[in-house]
Amino acid sequence: MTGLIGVSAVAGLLGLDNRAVGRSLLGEPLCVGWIIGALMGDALGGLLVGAWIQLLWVHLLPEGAVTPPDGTVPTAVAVVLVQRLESRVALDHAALVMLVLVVTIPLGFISRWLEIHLKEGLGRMSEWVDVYAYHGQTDKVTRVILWSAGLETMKTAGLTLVASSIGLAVLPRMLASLPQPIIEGLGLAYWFILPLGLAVTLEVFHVTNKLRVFLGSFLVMTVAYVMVQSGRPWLLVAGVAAGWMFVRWNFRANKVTA
Amino acid sequence: MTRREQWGLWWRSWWVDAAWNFQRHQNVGFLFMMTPALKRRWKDRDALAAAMKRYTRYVSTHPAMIPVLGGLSLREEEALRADSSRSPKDLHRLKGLMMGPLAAMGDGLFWSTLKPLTLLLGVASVVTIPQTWGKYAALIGLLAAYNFFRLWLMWKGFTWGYERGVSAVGVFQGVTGSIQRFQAVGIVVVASLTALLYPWSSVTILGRQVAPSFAVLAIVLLFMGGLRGRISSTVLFYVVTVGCVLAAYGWDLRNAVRVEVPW
Repeated sequence: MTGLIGVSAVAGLLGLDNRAVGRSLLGEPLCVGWIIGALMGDALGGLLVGAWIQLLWVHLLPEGAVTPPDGTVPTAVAVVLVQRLESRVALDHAALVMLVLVVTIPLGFISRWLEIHLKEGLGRMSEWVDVYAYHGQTDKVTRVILWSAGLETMKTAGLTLVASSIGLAVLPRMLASLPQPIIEGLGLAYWFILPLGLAVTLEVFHVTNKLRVFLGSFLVMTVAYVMVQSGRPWLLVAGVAAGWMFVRWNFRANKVTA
Repeated sequence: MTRREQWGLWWRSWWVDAAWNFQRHQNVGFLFMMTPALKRRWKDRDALAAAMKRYTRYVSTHPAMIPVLGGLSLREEEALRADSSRSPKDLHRLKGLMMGPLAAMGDGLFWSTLKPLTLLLGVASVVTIPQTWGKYAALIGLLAAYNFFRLWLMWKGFTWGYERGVSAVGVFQGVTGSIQRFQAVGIVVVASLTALLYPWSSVTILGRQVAPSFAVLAIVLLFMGGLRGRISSTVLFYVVTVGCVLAAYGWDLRNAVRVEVPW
């Protein structure tokens, strides 16, 4: 339990970086998975779990008043559950990761719901700041900032702790009675995470305006791979040079003028 | 603006989103950032209170671009102090003029381009570099590069806003072209992963090993079609999971499809 409290506290601080203070990418699922995984004893495993959640939501941007799903909480909980359950259940790693992702991804939306209400509350706090400004009370403005950051941290840490505790209590029993087809299906679905993540990333980069760049690069890389496999490196050099010229030509053709 | 003051503003600019609210967005964080500079310029308590009130208004721009707005505001505050007949409305007007373009540039450069590119390269490092220390080194390098650029831009933003005023926006004139280039790099990285990642793994379908590159391309394009059709990535995730589970019920997957991936 002490370990869970510590992990939740770290998740709370990382969530603060992701949503409110710093924005240094340490609160992104990739880094959260890495850090929480390191705390749990398997940094690499945590990194992979974080990578999948990262790719799933990389296109959801906090522009303007938009509040995207929170990636910190599901990543932290998923890493905790995978690390703790791996030794306790006889389940294929891929199937376990998929099952944990299925269960923890809704936490991103629960955290977002809490954050929306928190922001509405901060709107009322902003009215107190009007009064502090009217009286020139600069230290109270600082207090509002610290309180806001504290509430955000507690939200993330609290949700991580509660969800991890429930998951560790409920999932082992659930996994023990899981039918074999579900385990196999989850194992196969693991294969699809990366292609889905790549498709999501392409959406961020507006690939529809640069489709020839994408397809041209894909063909160049596939041909390069085949050439390397065939053991004719001189063909590879010529192929890459031709491919590079092809990609540059396509890039110029797809270039959007400012 | 002294160097020490700029350090203080720069550190406080990290907290600009701490009290983000729907009503006035970053107003509390912006006031928090500006407070020491205002205290230094307005010694009289009533004048300080009047100055602070000016910063309780609506503020909304990209967090990395807030320093430009801060530098501009400082410049206007000094103009107000030098000329008491000057109206604070100029400050509000100029802030209003700058917020939108700075937000558009910041969102386009950071949220839509550099952040997803950095994270994509991070994920690519994790799944492609075989040595663990190599993965960690790549991740640390990427995070350091992203944050070095972002923090440098925030530092310089104060200088640009303070020295140039509204024309500080001109500093970012070449940003759109850079965004296009970075996005093209991201697309090439995704295409490379699509082409090269799965050939390193083993895919066996109905007893035959298959070259998965073009199959992966087809699946990526299918997912892209779904996203273009406004199906969210989360829904697609669950649809694929449920589909695979249902397929397992109708098909002996252990013998039909076997995929071994190196991660």
